[in-house]
Amino acid sequence: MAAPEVEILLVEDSPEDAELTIHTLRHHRLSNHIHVAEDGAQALDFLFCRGAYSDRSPEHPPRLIMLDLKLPKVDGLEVLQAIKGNVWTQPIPVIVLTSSKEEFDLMKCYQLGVNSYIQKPVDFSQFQNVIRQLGMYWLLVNQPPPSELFHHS
Amino acid sequence: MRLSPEKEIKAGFGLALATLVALGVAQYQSARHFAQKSHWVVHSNQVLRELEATVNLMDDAAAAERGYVMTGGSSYLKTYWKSAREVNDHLNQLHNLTEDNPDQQQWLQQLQPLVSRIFHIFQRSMALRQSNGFSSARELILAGSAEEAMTSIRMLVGDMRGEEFRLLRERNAAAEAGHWKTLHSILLGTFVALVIISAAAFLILSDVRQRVQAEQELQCERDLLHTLMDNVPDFIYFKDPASRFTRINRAQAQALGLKDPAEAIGKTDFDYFTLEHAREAFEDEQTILRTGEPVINKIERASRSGQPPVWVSTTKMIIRDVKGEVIGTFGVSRDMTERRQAEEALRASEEKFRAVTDTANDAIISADQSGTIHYWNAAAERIFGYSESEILGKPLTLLIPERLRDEHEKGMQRYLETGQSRLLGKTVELAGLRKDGSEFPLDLSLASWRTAEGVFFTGLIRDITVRKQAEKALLEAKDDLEKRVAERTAELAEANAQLENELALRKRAEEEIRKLNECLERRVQERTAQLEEANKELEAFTYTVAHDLRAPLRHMSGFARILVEEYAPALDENARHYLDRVSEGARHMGQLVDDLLNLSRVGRKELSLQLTPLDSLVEAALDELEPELAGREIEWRFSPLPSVRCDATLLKQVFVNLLSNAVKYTRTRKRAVIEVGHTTRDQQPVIFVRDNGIGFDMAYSKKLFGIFQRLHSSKDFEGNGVGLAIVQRILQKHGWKAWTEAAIDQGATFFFTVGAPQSPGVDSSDRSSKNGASPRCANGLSNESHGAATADPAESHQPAKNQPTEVHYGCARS
Repeated sequence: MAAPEVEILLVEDSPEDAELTIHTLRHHRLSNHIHVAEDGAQALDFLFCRGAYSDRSPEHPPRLIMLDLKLPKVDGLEVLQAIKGNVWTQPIPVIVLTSSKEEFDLMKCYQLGVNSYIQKPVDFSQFQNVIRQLGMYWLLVNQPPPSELFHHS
Repeated sequence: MRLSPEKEIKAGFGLALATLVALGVAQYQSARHFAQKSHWVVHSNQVLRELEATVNLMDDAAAAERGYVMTGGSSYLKTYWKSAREVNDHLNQLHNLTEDNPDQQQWLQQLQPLVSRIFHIFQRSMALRQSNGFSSARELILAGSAEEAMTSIRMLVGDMRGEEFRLLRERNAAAEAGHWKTLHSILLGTFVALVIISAAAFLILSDVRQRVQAEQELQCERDLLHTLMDNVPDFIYFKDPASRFTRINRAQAQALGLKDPAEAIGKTDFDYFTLEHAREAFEDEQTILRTGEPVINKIERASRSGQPPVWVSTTKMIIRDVKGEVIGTFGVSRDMTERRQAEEALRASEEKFRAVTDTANDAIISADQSGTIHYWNAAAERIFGYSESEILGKPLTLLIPERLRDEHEKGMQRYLETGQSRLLGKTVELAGLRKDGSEFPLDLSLASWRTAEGVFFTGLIRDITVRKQAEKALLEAKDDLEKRVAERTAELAEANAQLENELALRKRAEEEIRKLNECLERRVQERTAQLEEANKELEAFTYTVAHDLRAPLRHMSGFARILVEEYAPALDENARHYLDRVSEGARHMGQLVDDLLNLSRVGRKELSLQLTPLDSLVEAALDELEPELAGREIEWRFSPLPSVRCDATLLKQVFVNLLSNAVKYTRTRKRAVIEVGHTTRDQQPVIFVRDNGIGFDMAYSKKLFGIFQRLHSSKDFEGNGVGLAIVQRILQKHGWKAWTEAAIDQGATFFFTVGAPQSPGVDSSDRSSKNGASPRCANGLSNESHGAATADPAESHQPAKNQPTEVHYGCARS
């Protein structure tokens, strides 16, 4: 199945949050190609093209990863560590999008090399605003990593 | 045929010499001839002069005779006699001069009578003059006889002169001819001599040049020979027929221990070498001299006495001079000692190798890079079952079990291509295949070496079947032993443990006796720790709950918003109103959750204690409250506060919350009065914040510090009831206590101690149990668990108006 290139990998266990996020991004016409991983294990399978995603090519990574921290199975910090610890996935921008405002999480995420750390605003309009800004910034403003970085021989 | 240069030169010079001699002779002859001719010319001239003189004298005599005759002067007489005498002299002279010429003699004989007659006539005339005088003499003269004779004389003399002139002409011509001849011969001779000498000089010069060139070539060859002799490492020597050295080169001199090769001249081998070698060499040389047959590459032991033996390869031959005469022998010896030693070492090494490999217990097998077996020792035959003749030239793979062959081929290929091997230089365990097809375990040590023919491998192979069996047996024995050791160890450990137990029991008993009084305290501390733990867990729980509450709130407000924004036209007023209520509810709950989180965060924060002036904290708190103060008339009463060791950030929050409360609940007053001061209670410094606000009923004071507890409607006064809970939590963390005094509509005062804490964190009060006690609490302490925020005074503390309500965090027991 030649699915269109995934622009955003949204790692979010809450279907409501996922829906609201996708709604916002689509509403502002920022991205249509969003893949939702419901837990950390699924996210890693997707990124490293294994398990159910073994037919994906690692040469077409998502342009952006939105990562929740509290996840079933493999939690967000572990996912982040796996992404930033692997030469294939390391260049992909990762935004941690979490309800947590805990200093430990913030510190750990930056130590692991997160590209952005956003606390999900409780208020939906703020939430929408944040998602819109994120989409604008990372998909339109920001210069993505050059594709050579994903073509390892 | 060409003459030798020397002869050519001799011939040239001889020829030149002969030419010069001939030339000399010719010139001499020519000169003499010329002189003779010249002599005759002179002779003729003399004759002519004599003739003339005679005639002149005759005239003089005639003149004198006449003079005398005419004058009779005696001077004429004298002149006459003189002339007459001289005429006679000249006539004699003429006679002598013309002896060679008969014609002239004849004429002279005719002349003389004529002269005599004239003189006779003159003398007669003069005698007549003297005796008879002039006239008689004159007559005689006039007779003319004298004149007649004179004329005859003149004629005669004329003939003679004519003859003599003829002769003179002849002689002049002859002399002239002789002169030219001589000149010609001299010129010719000189030219010939020059030619010959030039030729000779040319010959000599070219000969000299050839000689110089030949000498240079000779010198060059001599230099080459010297260089060769001096530098060639081989020993070179020339000997005379008596085998005495005539010349040796430097290498030979060095070998003989000589500084200068010349020292050896005249010496023989007997002077330097052992008798044995010297004799052998002497006999060889004599044989060569006798037969003319050379000795070629003869290996000799050329030992010098007292020196280690030197092995040389010697070539000797006869030498002859240019005439072919034998003048001695020439020899060249090359030092072969090192090569011979190397050969011997090689032979010894090969023998050693044979000896070792033949007796080795291990199979030793060599193969080339194609895997073809080249060497096979006895042990290999024993181990693999193939005889040497069977296996040599066969591939190694015969010895390798089928399953390992691929790996073997790859390893070999890899080594040949990259030089890397997993096996080389190590001992590895592999399996071998015997001739009978059975497999056996083996140890292989592999070495390789490179030759011009390629790479070779040698493997040392040991059959380790027995060792393997032994190892297995050993392993089993070891396991068994270990098991037994473990059993024994366990027994010992048990015994030890029993002993230790007993000891511990005794110690504990002793300690129990000794520390009976401390025991309670200890248990209290333990409990405190448990309570703290429980508190922490509860806080974590609170945090998690609060955190998890956020998400559904967002969903509610989110979907509500989407409905409002995207489906507004489809909704009526009521629906929109309800949706607003949903959103508002969600927002409110979000605020509650945030406050709860703040509270939880305070509980979990580590204290960072510093001595802090409380005045500065009050000031900072007021700054923060600035927005709330807008439009308010407030009278502030501050008295100086002490400096206290506290967490400044948290304590500022305490002031913020208390002052904020004071500001909030004085809102209904036209003029608010808020006082911050300090006092003491039980010798402890106490800080208070007092206001003249609406106050509250002290009956509910217990609830005041509980979370989400509010004594006023949120319609009148906004807030969640968390502010004071946070204050309480912060003070609790410092180990301080707080209480209030208030009455409805009479204002309220909040107190808190800032004294030295009494065992901070120890909390057995009703409030702490309300907030922190967990069901895990043991030891019979209060074990209430009444939900998150309900105040339930366990103390028999009767709330009363104006009576202080204690919020106590010490370790006092209820």
